[in-house]
Formats: sequence, structure tokens, C-alpha cells
Amino acid sequence: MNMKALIAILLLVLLVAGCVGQTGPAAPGAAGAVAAPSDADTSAIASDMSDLNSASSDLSTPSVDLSLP
Amino acid sequence: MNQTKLLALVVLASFFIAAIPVVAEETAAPQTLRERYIAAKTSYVQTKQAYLNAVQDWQNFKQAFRNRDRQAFLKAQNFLDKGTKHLIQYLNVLSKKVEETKALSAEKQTALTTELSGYIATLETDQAQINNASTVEEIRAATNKTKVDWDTIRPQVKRIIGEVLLAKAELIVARADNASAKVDAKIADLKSKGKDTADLEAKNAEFKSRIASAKDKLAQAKAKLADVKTGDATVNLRAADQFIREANRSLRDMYASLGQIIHDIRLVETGKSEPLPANTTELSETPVSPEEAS
Repeated sequence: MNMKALIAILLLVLLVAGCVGQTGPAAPGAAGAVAAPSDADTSAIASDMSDLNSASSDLSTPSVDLSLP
Repeated sequence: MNQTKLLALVVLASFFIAAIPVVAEETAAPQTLRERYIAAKTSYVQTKQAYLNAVQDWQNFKQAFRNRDRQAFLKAQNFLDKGTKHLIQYLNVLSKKVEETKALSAEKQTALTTELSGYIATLETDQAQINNASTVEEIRAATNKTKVDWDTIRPQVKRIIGEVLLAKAELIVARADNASAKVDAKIADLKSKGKDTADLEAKNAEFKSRIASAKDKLAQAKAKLADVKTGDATVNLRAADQFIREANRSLRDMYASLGQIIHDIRLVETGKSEPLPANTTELSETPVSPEEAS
């Protein structure tokens, strides 16, 4: 009976741990202090803008002349 | 004892089952999609070189082609085949770009790749007609068909490029909105602590106006791109190109505003001044702009 209770507790702990893992890290500043936008915000935007620029230059349509005399 | 072993197995199984989706999310799809795009792009560069070589090879046979020379016919057939293959490979690259663009919804990705598959199938049929032609008349007919098809496909391809760029730009706007909410909260927090936030509030207003401007330009670009399907493709593509470039300019300004605000928040909080983030580059032009028909 004690063994069953122990395993039930273990299962419950695993279940809770699994749920915490799936929901990801807590939002910054959630513990009280108000979080300011950080370098991570500007870095993510700069990275996306760089991605936009490289996609723009990558996708130029080809120039093909299929003319016959 | 048997019951204990069974329960232990259940615990172990639960643990592994819980771990599976996390592992799959972290390691599977994105890298594969990127690799597929790079492979398609590499192949595209190769088809371009093969086309340019075939054109070079063809240059001295134009007069002989008019005189129905057999070798000249084969040179023409070769450069037309390589040219069409190059166009097909470009569509393949674009399809892979759509697949790897996380900013596009799954439904949009499917719709765009399906559309591109249709264009690829059309050009593959044209390519087969070029390769099956055995007379000058047949190859002329096949070539004209390919040109007409490409002229029809090209504006829609540019529309699809526009949709990819728009989705990426909208992702940046979403990040800016997220940062804007943090700025609002931080200014309110500083104000409640008795700090002078007047300058920060003015900069925040400018930051918000730049986000709004980017949203407005992107909405107008989206409307113009939607009209490419039914209206004048050249006019709508030109307008969409202009709006995308203007949106990009607003995004760059927005980025500069955010950097300044973060800098100023730290200054208000700690009294220490830190360097501003580097500027981003401007889009000089986008591939959405219409070209003259070749």
C-alpha cells in the first residue's frame, strides 16, 4: 500500500513537471518588477530585418531570353 | 512485486512519452527545411550557369538556324531546354522559401506551394514540347507557348514573393508591438516611482507612430498584391513594391526609436549611458517590382 502511494506521488510529480516543461519559461518580470524591453528585443527585430533583406535579394526573378531568330 | 514492476514500467513509459514531443519540436523540421532551400538554391545557380553556357554556344548558329541547319536546330533546342529548366528551378527555390518561411501560416504555405506546383507543371510540359520538337515550326510553336506561359506566370510569382516579404515584415511588426507593450508598462512603472518620463513618453509616441505607419504601408501593399490576381498586374506590382519599401523604411525608423527608448530607460533607471544598437540596412528595391517583358 505504501509502495502504491509512493508511485502515485511520483506519477503526480512527473505529470506536474511535464506540464511546467510544456508551457516554457515564465515571462520576464512576472515575479514583480516591470520588465523593460531589452537587447533581446532589438536583436530579434534586427535579425528579422536582416532575414527580410536577404529574402528580398535572394528572390529576384531570373532573366531568361527565349527568342528564336 | 509484479504489481510494483508494472507500475514502475508505467512511470518509465509516461516519462518517455512526455519527452517525445519536446525532442521532436527542438530537432526536426526547421533545419531540414533550411537544408532543402539551400539545396534548391545551389541547383538553381547550376541551372543558371548551364543556361548561360548554352546561350553562349548558340550565338554563332542563329544564321544557320534560319537556313534550317540540323546542328543549329540542336543548339537552339539545347538553350531553350536549359532556359526553361532554369525558370523551373527558380520556381522550385521559391517554393522551398515559402516552406521555410515560418511567418506564413500553414494554410498559406500550402496554397502558395500548390500554386507554384501548377506553374512548374506548366513549364515542364513546355520543356517537354521543346525537347520533342523535330522541326523548326514545332520548336517555334513550343517556344512561343513557353514565353506566353512565363509572361502569365511571372506577375503571379512576383505576387508570391511579395506575400513572403509581407509575412516577414508583419512578424517584425508583431515583435515591435510586443516591445511597445513593455515600453508602456515600463514608463508607467517609472512614472509611479516619481521619475521624469516626459522625454520617454514623447519618444514612445514617435515609436508607436512608426509602428502604425509600417502597419498602414503593409496593409496597402497587401491590398495591391491581392489585386494582382484580377487587375493590372504591372500597376499593382509597382504600387506594392513602393509600399513594401516604404514599410521597410518605417520599420528601420521604428527600430532606431526602440534602441533610443531602451537606452533612455536605462539612463532614467541607472543614470548610466550605454551605446545605441547599430542601424539596419534599407531595401534599395524589392523583387516585387515588375520588369519589362523579355
